[in-house]
Amino acid sequence: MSKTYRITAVAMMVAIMAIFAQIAIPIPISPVPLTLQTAGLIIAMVIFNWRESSLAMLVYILLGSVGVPVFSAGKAGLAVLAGPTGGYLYGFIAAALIGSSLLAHVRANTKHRLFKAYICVAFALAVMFCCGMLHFCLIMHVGLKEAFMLTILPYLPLDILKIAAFTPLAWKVKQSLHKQYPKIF
Amino acid sequence: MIGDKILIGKFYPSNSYLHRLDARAKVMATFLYMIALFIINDWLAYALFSVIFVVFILLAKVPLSMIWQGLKPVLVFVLITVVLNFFLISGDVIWSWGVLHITTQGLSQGFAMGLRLFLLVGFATLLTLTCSPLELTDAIEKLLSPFARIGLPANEIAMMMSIALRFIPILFEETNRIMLAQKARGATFSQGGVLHRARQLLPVIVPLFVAAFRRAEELAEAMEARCYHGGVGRTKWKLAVWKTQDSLYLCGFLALFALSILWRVWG
Repeated sequence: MSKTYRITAVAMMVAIMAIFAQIAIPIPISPVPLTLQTAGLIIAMVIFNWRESSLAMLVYILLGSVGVPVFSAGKAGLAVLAGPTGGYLYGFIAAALIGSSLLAHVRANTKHRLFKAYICVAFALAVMFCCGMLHFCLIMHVGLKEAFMLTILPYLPLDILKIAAFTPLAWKVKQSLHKQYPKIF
Repeated sequence: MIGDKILIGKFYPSNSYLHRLDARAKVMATFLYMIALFIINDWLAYALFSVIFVVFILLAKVPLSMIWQGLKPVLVFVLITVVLNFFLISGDVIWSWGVLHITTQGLSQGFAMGLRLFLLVGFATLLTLTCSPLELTDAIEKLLSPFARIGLPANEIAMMMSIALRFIPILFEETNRIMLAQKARGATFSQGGVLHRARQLLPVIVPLFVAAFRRAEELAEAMEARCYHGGVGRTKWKLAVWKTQDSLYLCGFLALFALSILWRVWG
């Protein structure tokens, strides 16, 4: 991948993240609509290496914090990053970094590759939730236990569903990109 | 629509004192203010920081409704912070009901933490109201450039931000077109369980990615044909000039930061 192509490809990934954050699908069981932000994160982890995926997330967050409405529901600004839920956003960078490095060891056409991918993605997202929770503790001045009850426990079933739904999807995206651009992906 | 408001972002154009300052000074000052908020632990200090916030709202000459828009989403969190701190901090009990106790320490801590969150988000809102996204992007590029030595390419990041900004409306339109095309072929995006819906998205996401990376390839070729070879040494159309008032502004916030540390140590 040439340097210029790397720049443009990562930029497109950022643009797709921005669009995914705006697409909300209502879910009957939850008051919070399902945005495709997590799908974007998982796809970035699967198709890029650690350097590019974490760079994509960093650029996405910077773009949002300079005031471009790219965060979920058209939110923007440094205020979102400094606010109580900002930890999840910079958790994206950590998750992308760790997820991509782990997924690099899951080769195509090996046994149980999708199962291994699930484990890698779940671990990466757990790192993101930890960032979110610790940030929540710091900003809201509450203990770890309360933060866990408020920010993680209610959403856990939905998050497991997201991992189950989006990991195979990301794998399919990688396969079709590989077919189109065999030299790069 | 996403394309219309994307370039302006949350920016409120004006010619106030704060708007005229260099974006780099404002970014650094905002970070100093936000970190200092976590250092102080005294009511007098919180009062001082609140006064500074109000003064800067007046200096920025932005309508209060715009600040309010930025603060509205966190109000519920401010409330949670206040209530949780009321009940969770032990000390001299002034009111109790069953297992719930409110203490004097909890009361003061709760209000202080609520105020801290309010000021944190409020001051950050002020930054994006007084700097345009392009000014802030330039400022980030300049501020990140020392990190190039440890492998963080500041100018590449700024270039990626500009490209992403340019392509969000285009790819958004493309997404809508693909979704309509799949709907015409009988796809349903608002029925069935989560797994079913995710499967319905596959025929949208795959063409979107293929199209996006085709555009990336074309753009990279076009850039290289015009001799783009990385960002080092590129010149700018609009130059940000660092003036004396920017230095003064930054010094003011450095002094505030130092004062907060001294206040915490000896206060």
